[in-house]
Amino acid sequence: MKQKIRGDFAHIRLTRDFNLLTVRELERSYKDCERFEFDLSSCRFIDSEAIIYIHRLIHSGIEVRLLQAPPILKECLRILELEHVWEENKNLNMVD
Amino acid sequence: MKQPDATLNLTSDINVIGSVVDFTYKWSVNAGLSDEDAVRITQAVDELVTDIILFAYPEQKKPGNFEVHFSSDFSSIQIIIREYGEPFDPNRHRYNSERAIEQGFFKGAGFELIKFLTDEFIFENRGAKGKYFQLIKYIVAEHEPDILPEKSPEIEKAQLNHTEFNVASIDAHDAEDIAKLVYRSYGYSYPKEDMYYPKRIAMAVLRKKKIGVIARINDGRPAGYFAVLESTDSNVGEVGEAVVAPPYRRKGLFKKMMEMLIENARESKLQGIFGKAIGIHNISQKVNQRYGFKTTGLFLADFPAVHLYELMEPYPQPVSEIIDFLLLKDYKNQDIYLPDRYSEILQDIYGEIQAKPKFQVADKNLRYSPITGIDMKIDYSQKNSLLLVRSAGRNILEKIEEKFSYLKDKDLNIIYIDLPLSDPITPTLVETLREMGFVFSGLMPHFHKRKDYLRMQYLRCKLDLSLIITHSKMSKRILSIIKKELKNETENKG
Repeated sequence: MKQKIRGDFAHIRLTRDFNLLTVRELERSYKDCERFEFDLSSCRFIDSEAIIYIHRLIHSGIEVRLLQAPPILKECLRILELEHVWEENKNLNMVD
Repeated sequence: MKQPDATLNLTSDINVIGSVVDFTYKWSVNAGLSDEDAVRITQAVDELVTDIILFAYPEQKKPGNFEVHFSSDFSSIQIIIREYGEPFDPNRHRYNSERAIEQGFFKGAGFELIKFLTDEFIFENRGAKGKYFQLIKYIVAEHEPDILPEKSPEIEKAQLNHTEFNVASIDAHDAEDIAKLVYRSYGYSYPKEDMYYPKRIAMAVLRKKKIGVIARINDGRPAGYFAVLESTDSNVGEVGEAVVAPPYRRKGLFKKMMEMLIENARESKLQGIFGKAIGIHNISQKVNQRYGFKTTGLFLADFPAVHLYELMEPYPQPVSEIIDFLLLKDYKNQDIYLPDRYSEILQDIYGEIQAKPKFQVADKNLRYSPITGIDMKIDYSQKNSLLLVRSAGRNILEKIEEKFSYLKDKDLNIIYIDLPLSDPITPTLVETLREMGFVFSGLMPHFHKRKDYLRMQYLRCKLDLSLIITHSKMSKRILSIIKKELKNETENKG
């Protein structure tokens, strides 16, 4: 996991899959952060633990940008019937 | 059901997730999955392993253990995960999207994803033996193979008149020629779809899952192909693929290839080989008998109706197969417990294959295995399934009925059950299975873990048994037993 500040956002490049281990590390390291920008270009997938984590972030008012999310994320959001909820949430921005 | 290609023994610690996930992805790609499907099955494993780590051993101070077993065949990969933690009822952990959106309550989300990311997902609570999860993903080629014939078989037939062939063992480089041969001989009607994908064939050869021979004419053009497949969890192989291109038929090629194939099989670790000869005609059955194979069984409705290109008229019902077996090495002696009902026929089959087991009579006080072990295999494309009894505990009948009920809900033509003849409990099961509607199928020598098995079968489709063509005396006898038992079945139901 590599981080830098980009404008108002904590820019975090994940160097492995976005799963429980990553979520635990983020929860530990970024307790008070209000704006995240995740570079997901190295992630093969974003699992349910990570989806729940992002869902809770954006629903608690924290801004999240997801850069280059793997295609399987949309598939998972569709399975969990969260796609529209995420699309309509103003705190979330997904950038290919 | 087969020996796994790889097994990981892991502790339920968050730090193992990355390693098991990385291994799963790379193994899946190497087994033939596309990158997208490898990611899907990898995420499914991640979800399951995460659930085990979070929920299976909540009260323990030390982490628990779990195992991940990886297996593959030509058309699918199977990952089995076993854990021994707290009992768990998946029906009480169903994902509900409304509750997730409205209350942020995501219970069951991981399981929901697993169900959709895999092609098959089976969960079984095995009591003291822990919990069993099976994840299956089918291997699908990204592109249709380019195996159209350069010329039609008729033109080749007119132009070529070869009688001399070079027969050699196959290697991975022969894969494309083998796929072309299958196409030229059967069009796209050959029942094993894997044979149209050179990559799958090459991988099976490289992974020693098939021993084969290929015949070529002088200019190197392929004329015929024959192979024995690793098809059971034992040292028995199946003569599963046999193709002679139309222009080269009736030139003695089949004989040359069969002789070399048997020779190669004798030199391998195989104890025996068997062929499934379709009951649509008697050609393959005659060939098998000529090379010393003996009939040991008959599988009803083993695969759906087919129209085999050029060879025959469309067949109106699922295809039944006659099992012909050839012992390649001395019979490995076993204590065998014969059920009364099938004692005579089984002894005669043993006599035919020249095997002399020690026939035993069970003690009055039967010793059950401490646990019941039954494996279940479903082939949806062939619409068949198998229950394999590994060990019989006191609850064996209850477990069989449980799995039988599960299979009866599926779209299957046939349910087979294999019972170990080396277990004195087996004779006590046969009458109950008959009452359930199972009928005789045959003897499966050395079929699982080098032990002999009795196979019975439960027919789930309409089948006109008079359309099944048999050749050997034994196949006719087995068919008559099946007819009689099925007739009794119908009368009892009536």
